[in-house]
Amino acid sequence: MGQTTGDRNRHRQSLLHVEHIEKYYGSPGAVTKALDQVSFDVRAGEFISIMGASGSGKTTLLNCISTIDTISAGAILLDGRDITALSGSETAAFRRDSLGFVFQDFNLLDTLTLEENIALPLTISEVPPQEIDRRVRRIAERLRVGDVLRKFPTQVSGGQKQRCAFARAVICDPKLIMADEPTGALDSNASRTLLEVMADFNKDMGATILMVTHDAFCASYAGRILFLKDGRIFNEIFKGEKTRSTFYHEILDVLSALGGDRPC
Amino acid sequence: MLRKLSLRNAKRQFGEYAFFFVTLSWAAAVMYAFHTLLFSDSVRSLPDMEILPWLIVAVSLVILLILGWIVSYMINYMFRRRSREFGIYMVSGMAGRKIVTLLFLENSLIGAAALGPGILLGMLFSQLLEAVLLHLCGMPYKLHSGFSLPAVGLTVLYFSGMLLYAVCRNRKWIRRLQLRELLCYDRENEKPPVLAGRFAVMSFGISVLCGVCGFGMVCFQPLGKGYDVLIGFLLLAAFLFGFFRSVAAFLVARFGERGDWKYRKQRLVTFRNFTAKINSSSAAMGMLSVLFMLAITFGGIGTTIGLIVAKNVEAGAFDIMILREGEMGDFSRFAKVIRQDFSGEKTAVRDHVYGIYTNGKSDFRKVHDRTVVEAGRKLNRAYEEFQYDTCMAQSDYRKLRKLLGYESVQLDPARCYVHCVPALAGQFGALLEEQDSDGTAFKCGGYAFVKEGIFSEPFSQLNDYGNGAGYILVVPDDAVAQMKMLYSVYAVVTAKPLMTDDLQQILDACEGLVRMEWGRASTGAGGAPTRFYQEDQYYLTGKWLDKSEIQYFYSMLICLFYLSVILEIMGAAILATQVLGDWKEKQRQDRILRQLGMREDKISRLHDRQLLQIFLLPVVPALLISGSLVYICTKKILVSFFQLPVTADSVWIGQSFGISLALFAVLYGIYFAAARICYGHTGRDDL
Repeated sequence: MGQTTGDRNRHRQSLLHVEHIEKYYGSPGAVTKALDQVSFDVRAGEFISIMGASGSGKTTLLNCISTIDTISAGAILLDGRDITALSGSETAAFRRDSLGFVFQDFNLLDTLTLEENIALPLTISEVPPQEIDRRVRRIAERLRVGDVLRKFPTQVSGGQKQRCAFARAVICDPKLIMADEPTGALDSNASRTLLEVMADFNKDMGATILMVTHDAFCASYAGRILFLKDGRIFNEIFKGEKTRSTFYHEILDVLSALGGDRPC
Repeated sequence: MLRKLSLRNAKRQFGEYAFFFVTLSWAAAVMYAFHTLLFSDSVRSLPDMEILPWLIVAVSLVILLILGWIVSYMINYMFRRRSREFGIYMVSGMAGRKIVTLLFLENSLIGAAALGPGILLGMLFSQLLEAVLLHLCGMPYKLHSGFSLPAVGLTVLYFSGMLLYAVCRNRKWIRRLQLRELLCYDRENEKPPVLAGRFAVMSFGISVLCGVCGFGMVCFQPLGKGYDVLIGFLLLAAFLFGFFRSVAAFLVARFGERGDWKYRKQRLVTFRNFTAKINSSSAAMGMLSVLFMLAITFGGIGTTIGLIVAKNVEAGAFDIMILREGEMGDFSRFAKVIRQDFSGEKTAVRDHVYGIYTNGKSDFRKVHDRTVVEAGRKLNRAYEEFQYDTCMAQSDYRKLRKLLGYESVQLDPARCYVHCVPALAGQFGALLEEQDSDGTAFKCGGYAFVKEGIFSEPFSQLNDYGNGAGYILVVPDDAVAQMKMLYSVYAVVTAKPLMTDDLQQILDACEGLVRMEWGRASTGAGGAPTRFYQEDQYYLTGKWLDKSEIQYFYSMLICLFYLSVILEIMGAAILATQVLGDWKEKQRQDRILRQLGMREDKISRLHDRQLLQIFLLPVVPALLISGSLVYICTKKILVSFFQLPVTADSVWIGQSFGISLALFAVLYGIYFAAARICYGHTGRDDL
C-alpha cells in the first residue's frame, strides 16, 4: 500500500518512525511472535510511555529501537535514517551520539564514582577533560546529585543512583532518551523525584523521552501512552490538557480494559 | 542425594574451575614425575645422589603445604562467589556440616578427575626428567615404562592430604557463617572500591621506603653479617604487604582527581578497574608476589648451579688426566687401557705425557693472590705444589694445544709465555708491561717473557692440580731441565664424553690408580696441604671426574626447579582463575560500555590493558626482589666455588636471572594467553 502525502509529511516531522515492525524469537517450528506489525511515530520533544503487561513486548520494542536487538521485519527510522541497516561501528556511533539509556537496575559501573559514571559517555566520545568537568557539574547540580559526585554507587541511595544514570543518559544531549522501567527499583519518593526530573527535562530542554513502564503512576508523567498487548498496539491515549490525576485514572481504565481482553 | 548434588555441581562449575583443574593436573604430573625418581633403579644407582630422595620428599612436603594453602584459598574464593547458592541450600534445610561435606565431595571429584590426566602426563614427564638427570650425571638412559605404582600411591597420598588440609582450613569459617550472611554475601562485598586518604598515601610511602631499605640491606649488606640479610628480608616482606595494601589508594590519590589525565585516552575504566581489583585482592596479590619471587629466585639459583657445572666441564678441557707426584711416572699401563677402551671407530684417543715444574719464584703467584682478593674472594692457603709459580716446557705446550684442537702458535724457543685463566690475563699483561718498562727484563729460567705472550683458552686451570692452579708459565725446554718437577701428567682427549661407569672401569682396570677427591688432602712436606694424600699412587682427575665430584649439586638443582615450576604454575593459575571469576562483572561492564557507544575494538583493547595490568602487578615487585636475591646468592655461590671469576660475575648473574625469567615467562605466558582467550570469549554475548 502506497504512502499518502500526509503520511510522508508526518514522517518528515517525526523524530522516530516505527513502521510495521515484527520480531520473532525461537527456531522454526517453535516461533514466538514478540512484536506484530507495530507502527507509531514520536515527535521531537515528546514524552511517550509504552505500557503493557509482562510479556506484551514492550521491552523488546525498546530494545529494537535502541539497536540492542534486531527486528525481523519492518523499518525504524530515527531522524530519517534507517537504524536497522547500521554496521557495527555505525551502531556504536549511533548509540553514542543519538541515544541515552536509563535502566531499572541503574547499570552504573561500581568501580567508578558517580562523577565518573556521568562522565563516561563523554570520555568515550573523547570530549576534552575541561569540557567534561564543566558539563558533569552542570548536569549534576540540575539533577541534585552534585553533593555526592565523589561517592561510589554502593555509597548512595537508589534514587541518587538513578538520577546519576539519568544524568549519564542526557549528558551527550541525545536525540532520544530510552528508559526501561526507570522507577522499578525505587521507593515512591525517589520515583516521584526522578519522574519530576524527567518531566522537567522534557519540558525545559525539549528532551524526547521514550519510557517503558507497567506502573500507571509513572506513565501519568508522559504526554502520550501506547498500550501493547501480545506484541500489538492495543490502544493509544493522550494527556492533552488533562491534569495528571485525571490522566492517571484514564490509564487505569485502559489497563482494566486491557486485562478484560476486549478492545477499547 | 549429597553425592548426586556434588557431582552435578562439579560438572556445572567445571567451566569456572577449568584453570584450577588444569593446574591440579599439572601439579599432579610434576609431583608424579619427581616421585618416580624416588623409586627408579637407575636413579638409585647414581653415585653421590643419596640425598636426592630425601630432598624430593622434603620439597614435596613443602609443596603439599603450599598447594594445600592455595587450594584452600581457591575453595574459599569459589565459596564466596557461590554464597547465595549455598544460602539457598541452607534455606532448603541443609545443615552447615553437610555443606562442608558437599564442598569436600565437589573438590575431591575435581581433584580425582585432575589426577588421571595428571598421572598420564606425569608418565611422560618422568621419562624426560629421568633422561635429563641421567644425562647430567653421565649415565646412559634407556626408555622404559613410565608407570610406577608406588609413585602413583605417593602422589594420591599427597593429593588427599592437600585436599583435606584445604577443606579443614575452610570448615570452621563456613560453619560460623549465618544464613543471612550467605544470602547477602555478594552485597556485603559491595564496599567502596578504593578510598584515597592521607593514611593510605603515607602507608604507600612507608612501604616503598621499606622496600628500598630492604633492597639496600640485602644487596649491600652494610653490617657485613647475616643480620642485615635477615633485616632486609623482613623489610622486603613488609614492603610487599604494605605495597599491595596501599598502592591502589596511592594511585587514586595521585591520579583519581586529575581529570586531565583520567578522562583522556579511554583510561578511566581501566584505571578504576585496576585500582579496585588491587584493593579487593591485596592479600592475594601480596601472596602471589611472594610465590613468584620464590619461584624466580629458586629458578635463578638452580640455573647458577647448572651453569657452574657446565663451565667447570668446559674449563676442564682434558677428558682424563692422571697425575703422579714427583718425578716422571710410568703411564704406559694406563695408556694401554684407555687407548683400547676409549678410542672411537675412526678417532683414536689423543694423549700426551709431560711434567709440571716450579722455578721457585712467586712473582706471578703474588699477582694471582692479589687478583683473588680484588675479585672479592677469600684467599685460601695455597696447596703445597702451588706455593710458587708453575712451569711447563714449550714442546709439551705445543703438543697439548694440538691435542685440544687449538690454533697452533709460533713460540720463540728463547722466550717465555704464560697460559692462564681469562681473569688473570689482564693482570699478568700489566705485570709484564711494568717489568719491561723498568728496563729489567722479567725472566724465568734465564729466559725473558714475550710481552704479548699470554694465552687464555680452557686449559684445565680452573681448579688446582691441572696445568697449574690458574696459570702456568710456558718456558723453553732447556729451562725446565734445571727446574724441580712437581708432578707428571698423562693428559687424554677421548673420542666421546665419559660416563661415570667409564671412569669406574678405568679405576677398576688400573691398579695403583685412585680418584683425586676434592675434599681430601694431607699435609705436605712443607707444611701446606696437598691432594697427593697417598705415596706412590697415581691420581685420576679430568673434567668428567670433576663433574662427578659435584654431582650432588644436581640434587639441589632438580629440587629447586621442582619448587620453582610448581610455584609458578600455581601462582599463575590463581591469578587466571581470579580474573576469569569476575567474568559476570566484566560482561555487565561490556554491556554498559556498548550501550554507551564504545566500539568493539576499543572494548577489546580495554580487556587487553586490564588483563595485562593485573598479570603484571604481582610480577613487578617480585622481579625486583628476586633479582636482588639471585644476585646475592649467585655471587656467594660463585665466590665460594671459583677462586677467580671464570667470566664476569655480572654475566653469570645476568644469565641465571635471564634463564629463570625466561622459564617463568613461558609458564606465565601460557596462563596469560589462555586467560586472554577465555576473557575475550566471556565478553562476546549480546547486550
